[in-house]
Amino acid sequence: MLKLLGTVMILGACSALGLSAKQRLRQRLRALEAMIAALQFISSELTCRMTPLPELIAALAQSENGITRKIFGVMCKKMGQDDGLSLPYKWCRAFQECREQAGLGEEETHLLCDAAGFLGRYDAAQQVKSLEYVRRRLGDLRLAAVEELRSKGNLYRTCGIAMGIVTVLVLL
Amino acid sequence: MNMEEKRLSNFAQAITALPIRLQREALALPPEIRCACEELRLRAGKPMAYSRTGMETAFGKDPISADDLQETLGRATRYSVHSYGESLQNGFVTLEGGHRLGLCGTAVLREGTVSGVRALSSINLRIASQVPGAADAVLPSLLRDGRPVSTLVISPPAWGKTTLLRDCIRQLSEAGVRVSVADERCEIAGSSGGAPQFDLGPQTDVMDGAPKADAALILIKTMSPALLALDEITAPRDVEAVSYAAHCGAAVLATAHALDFADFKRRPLYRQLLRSQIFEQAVEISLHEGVRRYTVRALGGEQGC
Repeated sequence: MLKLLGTVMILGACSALGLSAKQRLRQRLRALEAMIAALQFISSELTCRMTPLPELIAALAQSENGITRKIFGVMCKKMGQDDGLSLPYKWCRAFQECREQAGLGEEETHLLCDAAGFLGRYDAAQQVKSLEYVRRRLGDLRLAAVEELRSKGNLYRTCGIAMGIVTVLVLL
Repeated sequence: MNMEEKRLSNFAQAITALPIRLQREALALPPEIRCACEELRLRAGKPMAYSRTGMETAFGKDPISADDLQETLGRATRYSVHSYGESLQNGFVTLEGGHRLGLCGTAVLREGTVSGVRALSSINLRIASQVPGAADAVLPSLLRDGRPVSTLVISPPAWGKTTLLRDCIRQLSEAGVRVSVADERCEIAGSSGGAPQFDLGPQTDVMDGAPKADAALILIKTMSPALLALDEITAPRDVEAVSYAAHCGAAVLATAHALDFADFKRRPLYRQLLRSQIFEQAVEISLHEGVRRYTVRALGGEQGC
């Protein structure tokens, strides 16, 4: 009975490891898609309404998308604090702080942080142009993430289960 | 809230555009200076200075750096330069509460016209304030048989034209005159979220953010005012709008930059304005030992008050 219980636990734990690795890949894909949509929203607002950045960030903090809501919610809270820190700094800090929880990779976090360098500094057309570049780069990363999920996602899951089986067999 | 508290609160509101370090320095000024302060001057390499009744006094500890100026602009525009494109072209940013940040530096030219300012060298933070009673001396001459009289307020910059205009609007509105305000730079009403921050009276409609000429035409057509008020006639289009309003039966209350009436008459644009005979009288503001005096001059005659 104990052996059976142990076998189930080992199999379950190893499978969970594999599945969580796959889940991370899926989460990264979701985060990338959320950020692409957020940048699209910012571009549209800049083009059509010349909305100031604090209002844009506040609107994104109310987004339906959980990842967007999380990151921009943190940013919005930071913006509300009159601590003398600049908006670019707060923008970047919010992405860095929420990176792991949101599932963003290092490369896309750097890209999004770099966007702080031009946001709010130039006229709307120039900002939209720069945002378009960031969006394109995120789009490339998204395609790579889709490919990674397709190729490695099932591999991680299978490896997890296989590792569980092997461990059980070795222990038996 | 009494007058002094209101002025201190205005000062505190205006300096939120400054970096924290400069805010602290400004807040360390004695309350009587914060109350009377009309402008804060920031110049690269020089300590911050306050100005009252035209006199400047330096008070900052450390000199202002280029970063301080850039940060001030960032805070004033809420890090959203794109939202202030038009006003930045004209070298200023209007802040919440009607305060105005004037910018000076290296101009950026696009197709021969100024499109902005980079490498800021100076910033002038003008603190808007409401002085109830400022128009007491001139009010009797602004109404004739219960009808508003078209009046032009003349003075050099920062001598209190807008403050006088604001109080004239309030008092005339309270006296039952329906007033429309074309507030291009959001300085007269200091509107925030559609609500005027300054008391402009119960019968006042404000259109802000639009060029004066456009706003004036819309107001005449939609609000049917007895008096149209606007600040700083500076362009031929403004003269056309004033002329249109006057010919539609509305009186006009406006301001113009000039040292005095003689100086006013020398300007070609204003000569054109005088020829159109829209204004029945002019109010000249003069400053003697820190005290403002108002002289009402019937165009063609003169009376003091």
